[in-house]
This record gives sequence, C-alpha cells and structure tokens, in this order.
Amino acid sequence: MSADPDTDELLAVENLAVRLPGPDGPVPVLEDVSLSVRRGEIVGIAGESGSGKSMTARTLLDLLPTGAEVSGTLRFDGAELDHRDRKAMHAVRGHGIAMVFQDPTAAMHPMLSVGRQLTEHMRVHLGLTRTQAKARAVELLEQVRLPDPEGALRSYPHQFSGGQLQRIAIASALAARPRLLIADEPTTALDVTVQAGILGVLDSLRSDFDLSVLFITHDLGVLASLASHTCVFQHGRVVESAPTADLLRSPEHPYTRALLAARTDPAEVP
Amino acid sequence: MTTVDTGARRRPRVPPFVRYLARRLAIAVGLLLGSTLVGFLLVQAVPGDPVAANLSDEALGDPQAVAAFEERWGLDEPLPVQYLTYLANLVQGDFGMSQHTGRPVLEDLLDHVPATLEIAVPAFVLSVLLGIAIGMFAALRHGKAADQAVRVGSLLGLSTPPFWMSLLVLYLFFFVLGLSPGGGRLSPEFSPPPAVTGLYPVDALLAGEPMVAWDAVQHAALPVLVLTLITTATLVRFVRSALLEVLRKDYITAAHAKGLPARTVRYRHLLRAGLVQIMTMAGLTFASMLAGTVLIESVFAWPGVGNYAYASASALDRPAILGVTVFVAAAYILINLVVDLLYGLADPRIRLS
Ligand SMILES: Nc1ncnc2c1ncn2[C@@H]1O[C@H](COP(=O)(O)OP(=O)(O)OP(=O)(O)O)[C@@H](O)[C@H]1O
Ligand SMILES: [Mg+2]
Repeated sequence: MSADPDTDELLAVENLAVRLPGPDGPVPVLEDVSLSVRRGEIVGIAGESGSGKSMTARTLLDLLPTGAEVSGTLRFDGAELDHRDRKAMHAVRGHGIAMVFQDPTAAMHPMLSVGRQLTEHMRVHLGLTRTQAKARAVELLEQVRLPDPEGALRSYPHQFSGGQLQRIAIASALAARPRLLIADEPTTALDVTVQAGILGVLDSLRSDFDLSVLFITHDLGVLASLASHTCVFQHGRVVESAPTADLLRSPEHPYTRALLAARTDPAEVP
Repeated sequence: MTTVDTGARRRPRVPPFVRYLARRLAIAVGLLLGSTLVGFLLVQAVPGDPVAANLSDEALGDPQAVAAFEERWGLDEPLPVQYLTYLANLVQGDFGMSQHTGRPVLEDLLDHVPATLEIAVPAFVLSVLLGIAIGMFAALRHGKAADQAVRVGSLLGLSTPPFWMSLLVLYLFFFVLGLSPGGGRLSPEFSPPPAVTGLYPVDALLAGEPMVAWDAVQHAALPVLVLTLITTATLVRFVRSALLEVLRKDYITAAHAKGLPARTVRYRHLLRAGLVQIMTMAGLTFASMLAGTVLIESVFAWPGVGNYAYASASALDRPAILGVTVFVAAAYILINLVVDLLYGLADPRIRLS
C-alpha cells in the first residue's frame, strides 16, 4: 500500500447528513458521517438494525427516496460525486460503484432471466456485444462458484435458493467492472459454510482486481479477518472508526463493546 | 444450482406450461357449462307463458304446432330434462327464436355482436394505450402536480355517468360543431355493405366502397370517444397504483443502481412487472365492453349487444335473454382464458413451475 493518502483514496465521505421526509417533517437518518476507502481495501461498516448502514450505501448511489435532503461532501476517484449531474451519476452507478443489495430475492427482477440481468449493464457500460457479455457472465458466475453457469443464464430468479441468488447478485454487481463494491449484509441470509465461501470470493477479488469493498454487516466478528478498517454506526452516526484489529482488541466506545459482547461465537473474535 | 438440477432429474413428462393451460381450459369449460345452467334457471323466473310468447296467434290455434314447439324445447318434461334439451340445441347452434324480432336468436346475435365490436375494439385499444401512458406518467411523478392533475381528471371521468357524457359529447359534436353525422351505424343514403366480418368499415372496404367505410367510421367515432374516455379513466387509476407498487420494489432500485438508462428501467423493468396485473384488468374491461354499454348505445342509437339485451329484457323474451346471457358469459370466460395464457407467457414463475 502506498503511503500517499491522496492518490490512494478511492472514496471519501465527509460530514454526510441525510434527512428523509416524514409525516411530521424531515427525519434525520444520518448525521455527520465520515469515512474513507482506499483502493484495494475492504472497509467494514457495523451497527445494529436501523443504525443507517443501508442509508449510507443508498446515499452514495443517489438511491434515496424522493424528497431526501443530503448535505456533506462525497468524493469518488478524485472527483466530487454530484447527484445533480445525472450523466455522471449514470456512469458511476454500476461502473464506478456497484451494490449488492441486502435481500437478494427482492433485488432480482422476477420476470427477467438471470442472463439478461447479468448482461444488460455490461452492455451499457462496457459496450460489449451480446455474445461477449454472455461469455463474461459465464466467467463471473464461475468466479462466484455457481455450478452450471450456462444453464443459470437461461433460468429465472425463482429457480434459485437465497444463497445462490446472493452469488448471482455479487456476479451482477461485478459485471461492469466497478472499482468499489458496496456489499450490504451479503452473508446474513446464508448458512456458515456458504458465508465463508462468499467472504473468500470477495477477498480474492480484492487482491486479484484491486477492488475496494465497503462491507456492511451487523456482525462485527465477520469483519475480523476481512476488513482492514471498520466504522461502527449507531443511530445514524459513526461512533467509532479504527483499524479492525485495534477495534476488536481494545474497543473504545461502549456501544462497540456491547456489540462485541453480543457476539454469540467468541471463538471468531481474535 | 440445486433447484434447477432437481427439476432436471425429475423432469415431468408434460411441460408445466401445457399442464397449466390444460387446467385453465378445463376450468373454462366447466364455467361455461355452469353459466348456461345459471342463465337457464334465472330465465325461469321471467313471467309469462313461453309457448304463448314464442308462437304467433295463428300457430297457437294449431294444437300440432303447439305440440311440436313443446316437444322441440322439451316443455312438457321436468326442468332438468328441459335444461338438457336446451343444452343439446345450444351445442348445435340453436339458441331458439327471439320473440320480439321473430328471428333466430343466433342470427340476432350475429348482427348485434359485430356492431358492439365495431366500437369496443377501437375503444379498447385506445384506452389501453392511453391508460398505460397516462398511468405511468402519473406514477413516475408520484405526489407532484402532474400526478394530482391526472388523479382529478380520471376521477372526473369515472364519476360522470356514461349516459350524461354521451349526451354532452353528442351535443357538442353534433349540434354545436356539426362534425358528427349523428346516431346509428350509417347515414340513410347508404345501405350496409355485404356482410363478411360484420364490421361496416371493414366490409365496405372489402366491397370497394371507401365512401361507405368513411361514413361508418364517422358514425362510430362518438361512441368510441365516450367509451374510450370512461375506460381510460378506469385504466389510468389502475395502472398508476399497480406501477406505484412496483416502483417500491428493491429490484427497481437495483436496476437504477446498475446505471441503466432511465428508459430501460421504465420499459424493461417497471412496465414488464406491472403488465401482468394490467393485463388482468384490461381483460375484464374488454369483457364488460362486449357485454354492451346499454346507456351509450341507446344515446347513439347503436344496434349493439347492449341495445339487444335491453330490448329483450323489456319484451320478456326468454330465448333472447338467455342467448345474450350465454354470449356474455362465454365472452368473459374466453377473455379470461386469453389473459391466463398471456399471464403464463409473461411470468416465468407460472410458465416454469
Ligand atoms: N423510506 C424511509 N423513510 C424514512 N425513514 C426511513 C426510510 N427507510 C429507512 N428509514 C429509517 O432510516 C434509518 C436507517 O435505516 P437503514 O436501512 O439504513 O438501517 P440499517 O442499518 O441498514 O439496518 P438493517 O441492519 O436492519 O438493514 C432507520 O431508522 C429507518 O427507520
Ligand atoms: Mg440495512
């Protein structure tokens, strides 16, 4: 890793605040959130349910509900991320920053084939032909270790299990060669062996393709061997941000300690 | 892919979609049969003596003619046998004689159904296109001024009685603007073209008479307009709420997150998902149009199914009432079958499992 933080930095979020329209006026969901991700780095976001993890991810890609008020600075790949610049946002979405959604079953269109959903954004962003896109889709499905990739392209989402869909969703997120992957609790719905497989895939992608990952989870332990840096969220704020090893060894914030204590399997905490 | 592999190992001999269709077809036949029974039982409640109602005074004086009539319709038999006789005649295309027109009911239907189709088909096509376009326009601007305007407009269209709207339209285009030739299917100076399809504009063109075709189109324009306005209002509301529901789904957000052009998300993802529900509603709408729109037809003196049904009911004409009932039921059931077929084609969850 280079020592110069400026050239190394891929994503920087500074003083981000988000308010969503509520029945009695705007409701703050994020306040003063700052974090950064370097190239080829996996950063973890941990926090309880409702702490604003998914909202942070959605804000980056301008996927907030209409009427949301956003303030703060977002920088991606050396340039300001301006949500009002629709053309630039279209290029960033999928190609610069890609996202794996929390619920893989809900995030796949039930009536479009897996092949179509894996290739449509490839063709938009990379300008591939149908055949080239299909070949790349098969490669990606092999990378996430889905058996029979050719058959999978012709199938529809309802023909797969949740774990299989999660792998397909990861393949789809990687399809347009993004530089940052936001993975929103990609392993929560999976059993332990499948979970380990997915984490392995993400880590090898990081080292092979210099991919950066923002890994969202409510389970601090998952981040131990995966993320170099971890941010802990509570009530829409970052309450602790530190290298993962330090954070797990000597958590400073009482909330982080509570999260660690709540872990059911102490063997996974170093 | 565990699930797919399992499917391949225990491959059913009949493709699932064929089984799905066969089941739908069986249900349709059952429903059709049931609707004839219900119709038959209902007309039993129609007051009057069917023999007196169906035979001329002259024939009534002739005991042989009366006996022949009773025999043909099994009127001296118990009700279940009468029903079976009716059914047997029906499958041979014999709907009985209409009392108020003095012609076979089937012939009457073959005259009136094309008249209804002549206004229902264009109105259906127009209102589905407009309904989808306006409903989608509103859904994509949820809560904004344009959305509110569409909601108010469609509510206005829905709450205006068809009869009243017909009169307004007739007044405006006929009396004020003088753009319409008035009621009926053709101006008196023209005679109907030789029947091929029963649709005057089509038949007139087939007969090489463009003037007659143009006159028929002008006559159809106003009833089509009213029917389109009313149906569009219904469809707009339905399309809007169906698409708003789809817009809330994660997979739409996910499609945006992939950086797809807004048009692609709109047509390939959003509309595709909403279309299944919209098709169901459109099918119901078309069926109700075929049942005839009595109030519109009567204002425009349009000799369609609705007018025939109204005349039959006023005359307590049992065979005609029953004939219209069976036709309308058959139309509903057939359209439902088509919708089920399209449903299966559109949704892989039905097609493949
Ligand atoms: N459409 C919305 N309008 C208003 N508030 C919302 C909306 N969606 C979410 N919120 C609120 O925003 C806050 C943050 O939600 P978010 O989805 O980011 O939580 P999370 O950390 O991802 O939780 P989980 O672990 O359950 O996924 C929550 O308090 C939630 O109630
Ligand atoms: Mg979440």
